[in-house]
Amino acid sequence: MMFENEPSECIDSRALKSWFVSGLLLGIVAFSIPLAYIFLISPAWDLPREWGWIGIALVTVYTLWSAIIAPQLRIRFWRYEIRENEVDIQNGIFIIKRTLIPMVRIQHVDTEHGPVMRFFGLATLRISTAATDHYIPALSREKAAELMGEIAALARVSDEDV
Amino acid sequence: MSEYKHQHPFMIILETVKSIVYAIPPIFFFALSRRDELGNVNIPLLAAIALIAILTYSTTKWYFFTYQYENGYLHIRRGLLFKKERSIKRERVQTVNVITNFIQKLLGVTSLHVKTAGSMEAELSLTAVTLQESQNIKTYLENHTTNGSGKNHAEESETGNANVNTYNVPLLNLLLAGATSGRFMLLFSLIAAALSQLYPYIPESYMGLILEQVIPRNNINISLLLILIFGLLLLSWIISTLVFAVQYSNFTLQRQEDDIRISYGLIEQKEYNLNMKRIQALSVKDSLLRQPLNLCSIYAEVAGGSSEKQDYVTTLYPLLNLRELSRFMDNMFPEYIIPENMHPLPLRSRKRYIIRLLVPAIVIVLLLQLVPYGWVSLLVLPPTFLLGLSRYNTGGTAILEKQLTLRFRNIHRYHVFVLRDHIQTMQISSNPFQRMSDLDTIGISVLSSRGGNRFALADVDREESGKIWNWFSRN
Repeated sequence: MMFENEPSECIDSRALKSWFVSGLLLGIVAFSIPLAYIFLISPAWDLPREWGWIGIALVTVYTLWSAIIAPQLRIRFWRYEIRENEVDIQNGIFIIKRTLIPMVRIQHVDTEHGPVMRFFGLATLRISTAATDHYIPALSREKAAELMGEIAALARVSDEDV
Repeated sequence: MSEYKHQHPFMIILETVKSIVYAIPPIFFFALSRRDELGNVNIPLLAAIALIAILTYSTTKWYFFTYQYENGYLHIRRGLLFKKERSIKRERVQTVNVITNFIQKLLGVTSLHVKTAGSMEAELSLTAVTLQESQNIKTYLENHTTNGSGKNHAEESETGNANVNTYNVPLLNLLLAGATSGRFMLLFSLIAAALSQLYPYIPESYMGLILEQVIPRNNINISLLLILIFGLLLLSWIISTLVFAVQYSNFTLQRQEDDIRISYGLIEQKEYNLNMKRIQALSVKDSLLRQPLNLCSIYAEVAGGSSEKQDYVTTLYPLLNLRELSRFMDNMFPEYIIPENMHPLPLRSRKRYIIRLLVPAIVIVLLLQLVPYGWVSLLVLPPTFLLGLSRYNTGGTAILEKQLTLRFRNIHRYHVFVLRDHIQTMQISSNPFQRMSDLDTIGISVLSSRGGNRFALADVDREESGKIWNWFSRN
């Protein structure tokens, strides 16, 4: 059932750029660790230099993964749909998760965005129930605000008939 | 009753005892570490000064602690320098627990704990009030549901009322529950740890003397060690059984309409009240030791409550024969139904259940071959295989009109009953291997006193998981 009638909406394609930039930034920060090792720590304490090269290889692989490969895979499966009585979310890279949140259970919705997402005009929508937290990443900011209003209204309406 | 009241003066005694009890372990270890330097210290004088200080402190605490209940509020004022006041509106009160420990019982007082929803919010405790007063406060706080008609209260005092259902755990069952609780392993490790800690403090001459009594010289063999360990196990088993029986003695579960009341304890008496609305899920646990005896225990996931761990009201009933389960559920929790048959897992998930446990076990066993006697670890493989098989055989689901039932085993077997309206979210997930064989992992989240709790069952047939999904979906 996972692939039949999956949720209808995709997330914004700018998500790819945003994830690429934040993955790259993280990678640059991470690079400083093996570089510092090679040029500062290993000469000072007479430790083998090769470990630093291994570190650089690992950071490179990780950066490639988190900036290019993972976003491609992630966006492929990210789907959501907001219906009258529930929110349906599908996500995952290898393990694909599909989550159903009834409107009646939603306690609050917020939007949030960091500097990179703001640059691309994106925002994350966070949906909380009493027991769990869910999010839809990288929606255009107008869309996020619109959905937030929509969910808040629907959640309130459903509240009345319980 | 508009005046602020003090608690019973016995609170001074209770507070003193409490302070002393808390102080004993650190003082003991301090004294132990400095025992050579303590010779020239006047210990009785020191103790007397400490006692007077503690008594003064306790008396001040008692004197400045006052409470009052009126106009639908419970107020508390306390503190000498830093005054604190707290009010709780009685509509906000979730539970009023009455707990009596041994000393309180001797003194004829009891403690009262008032809890509100959510762990963030204030809670309020009175440590020494008379039994009569505790009942007064309790009735006062709980009365709001009937809007002051007092009907609820009147019914409660007539215990012979028709719609009150009561279950009692007989002593024999308590002993059985204690014997199968598995706590003895914990106690055993505690005793072993304590012994290893105390070992350096036992003078060598005593040690040698004891050893010579038990073991003739030059004749130490492994069987004696085994006997010693076995004896210790047996001892901790007996102790833990008795402790369990005393702790839960006279366990009573009572239901009147939507109110549930649990009380137990011989030395320390506890009483909990909760409303049926707060129960989010019911689980029946057949632990490994109890399953062969056809025994189970019943737990609940309770929303709200307190952040203190020991106050989770999760044990609804410590031991019940499986044969009586359906009657018990009909009487006490008719909201939940035991499904007649569960939908089992498909045959193709069997190998996944076995592989999931066996592969890590084999890796560990192979690594252990590097150490001497590593081959002993081969013995864990058959039980691991059987556990995997048993997990597969246990897994099952059932959907009724309003209720989802999951049956699964980690080590112990669980039946979890959840009403549709109590499921916060449902999640169905699958990894690539599961997708190849059309299997899903199905998980539900419910609210519990820890925030949220998740129950999941792996490798459910895609057809069945789709049914459950559609059952939960409101569209």
